[in-house]
Amino acid sequence: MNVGFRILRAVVSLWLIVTLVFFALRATGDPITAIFDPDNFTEEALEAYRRQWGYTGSVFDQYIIYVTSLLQGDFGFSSMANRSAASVVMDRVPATLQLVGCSAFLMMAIGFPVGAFAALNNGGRLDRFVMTFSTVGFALPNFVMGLGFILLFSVNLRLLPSNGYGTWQHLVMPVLTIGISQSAIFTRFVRSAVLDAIRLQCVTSATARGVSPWEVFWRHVVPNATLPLVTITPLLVGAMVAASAVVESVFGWPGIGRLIVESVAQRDLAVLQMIVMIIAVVMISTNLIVDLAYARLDPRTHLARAH
Amino acid sequence: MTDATGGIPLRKAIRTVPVGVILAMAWMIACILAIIIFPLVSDLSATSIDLTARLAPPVGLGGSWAHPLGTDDLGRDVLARLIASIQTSLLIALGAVAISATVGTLIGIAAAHIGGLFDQIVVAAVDTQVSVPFIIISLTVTAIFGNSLMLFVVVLGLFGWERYTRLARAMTMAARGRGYVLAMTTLGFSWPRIYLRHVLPNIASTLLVTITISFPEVILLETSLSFLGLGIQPPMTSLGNMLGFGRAYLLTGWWIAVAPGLTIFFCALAVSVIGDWARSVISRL
Repeated sequence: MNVGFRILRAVVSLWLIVTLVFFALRATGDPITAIFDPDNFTEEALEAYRRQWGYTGSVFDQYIIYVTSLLQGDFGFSSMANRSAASVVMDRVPATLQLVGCSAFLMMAIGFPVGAFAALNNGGRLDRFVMTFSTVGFALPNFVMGLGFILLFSVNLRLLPSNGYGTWQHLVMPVLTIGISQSAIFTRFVRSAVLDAIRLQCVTSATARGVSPWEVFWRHVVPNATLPLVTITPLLVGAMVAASAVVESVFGWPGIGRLIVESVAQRDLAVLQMIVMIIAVVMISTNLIVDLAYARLDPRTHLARAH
Repeated sequence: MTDATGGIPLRKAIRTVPVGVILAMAWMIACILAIIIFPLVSDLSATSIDLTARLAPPVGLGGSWAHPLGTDDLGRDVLARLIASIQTSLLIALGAVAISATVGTLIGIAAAHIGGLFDQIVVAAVDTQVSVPFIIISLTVTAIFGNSLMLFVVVLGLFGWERYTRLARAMTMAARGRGYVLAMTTLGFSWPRIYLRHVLPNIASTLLVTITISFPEVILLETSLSFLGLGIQPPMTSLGNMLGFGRAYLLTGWWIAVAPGLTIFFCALAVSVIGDWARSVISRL
């Protein structure tokens, strides 16, 4: 498949999501009557809100207006905050990036060494311990882990604030929660990637030639193990997004994840649509970049094309 | 993964069940027994309010046997609520997995059978589904449907449909090329009969493996959504919403949150340990 076709498919996917979300969110009728009780408001007042939030005309008309304004960079009006949806969402982006960035770093800091050691110790006690940790980590939902941390660090030890944003102390528990729970899965991926790499012929032959284990590991095992790990990046990004939606709510972290929950509760369709779209853009472009990068990173795909 | 001794008979695989799996099964059986027996032997109810016994601690921490796991902020018995919650959460997860496995498989078989434009649309839909985390979709959809239990189960029933679709589509396509399918079409058997009686049994074990992977994930998804206050609504109770409400009392009544929290953890752990084991047994058969 060539690059152009893949980009086209990514765009079609994005359009599909935007369209489905738009119509799904309007499937249950007038959002205005869901927000305001029609008995307590005059028809003029409801009509004014309809006009302000773009709920006038048929659903299809609204869709045309929505898409044309999207293309002009206008994401609509937030009914919850009474200003543009774009500004509401953009206010929350830095907090989420900070949280996800630190968590991803922690996940890798745990996952790479632990996974590699487990693979080198394949079948041994350390390996079994790591696999058990991974199973347990998968079954321990992040909101349960988060509440556990709050009980320990905030209620019992009174070391860290349970809720809020701003200082490094606020960052500790959310990052620990996401980082540790994601590392449970990531460690497994690292382990199997390293295991596959160890079994390659180049590794056996290098060891047979008398190359030191240290050098074999860094020269042959690591490069070969990195490649399959690149392909799971989209999966990890998706898992991070999902985790932050829940964990941000646990710790009152003012990011995108908590904003989704808030906008669902307040039926703020413009904000909700924009967040889903941002997530879709991030996910689809990660997929696309990984797809394209994989061909560049792996010389064998070039060879396959040349033949 | 392949065993050096080759195929191990099912009986031997069952005789050498690891300790972890036995513990996991014991936990699940205990949960199911509790759901059935508890309402028969105890007069504690999940919804009856006793304001004089608010925030009573569990037995051993200053509480009495009247409320073995203590009471919550309205004086409701935590054990009774816990058991009612386990029932809701397990039933919802079962229902959701049944829906997604059935619908996903049917779509996959239909895509492989009909082909053409329909197949292209299914493939595009699968790709699109994969590109957005499901919790985001289910959050968005709960915004529309509100608090109906049936619709909540249906939404959760969408989870993982694309896995079954992908699998069923690929395996049906492979089966269509086989001799036995060709023979039956020449003999004049109808397609539904061929798919249900001959193709489906052949792909059943792979579908079962997918179900064992999905089941703990659905439990966690349901509890997450209910925890956020967007799933099961009061007066019904599920493990997630019990934990969500208990969170406000971490300081004064930590047991309200700890009981459902540990239960979610043990249930998800038990189901995935059993699933892992079942998968390894199936793959060795």
